Amino acid sequence: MKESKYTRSEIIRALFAMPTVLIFGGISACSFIEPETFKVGEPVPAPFGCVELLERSALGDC
Amino acid sequence: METILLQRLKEIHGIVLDNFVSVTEATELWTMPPESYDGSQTIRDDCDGFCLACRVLLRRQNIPNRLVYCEIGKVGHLVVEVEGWILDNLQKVVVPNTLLSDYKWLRISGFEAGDIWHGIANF
Repeated sequence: MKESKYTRSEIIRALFAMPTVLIFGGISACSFIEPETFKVGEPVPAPFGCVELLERSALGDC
Repeated sequence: METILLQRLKEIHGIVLDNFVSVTEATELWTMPPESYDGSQTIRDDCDGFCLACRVLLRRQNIPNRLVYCEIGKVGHLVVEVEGWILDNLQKVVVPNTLLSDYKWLRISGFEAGDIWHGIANF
């Protein structure tokens, strides 16, 4: 059998390090999720609740 | 690295959420928070009450924001949006709109009261 160039302890250490790398890599990737600015399309009716609020109250903010 | 804007959004979202009691409304009645609202009063309402409360605090800090009407499944829902960041009473933290893949973004308000609403062109 061909001898590995790595020792048994090096292989075991690498196997345990992999999940750690994957977890921290995943966390780093999630922190880079950026929002996207909404682009407006055609005018549409406001939701009924908003229409009613604006009719009812001068302080309505919708 | 977190921007100052995002820090402020998280603060406002947290303040409103901490004093928010979700109530299911039988009718679609949007209610503004009391005129003295500063985040310390309890708001008992559904998503629109949460959003209007957030809007008050955002305005106080001169942070432009819009209301966004969406659907989750077939259920209508309202959130506040600031540069794509979402303040939502269903989320524990402020999240980017790109993370909410099960939200169907439908209509968006203007920045000012009474502005025309528009459809959303890019989601």
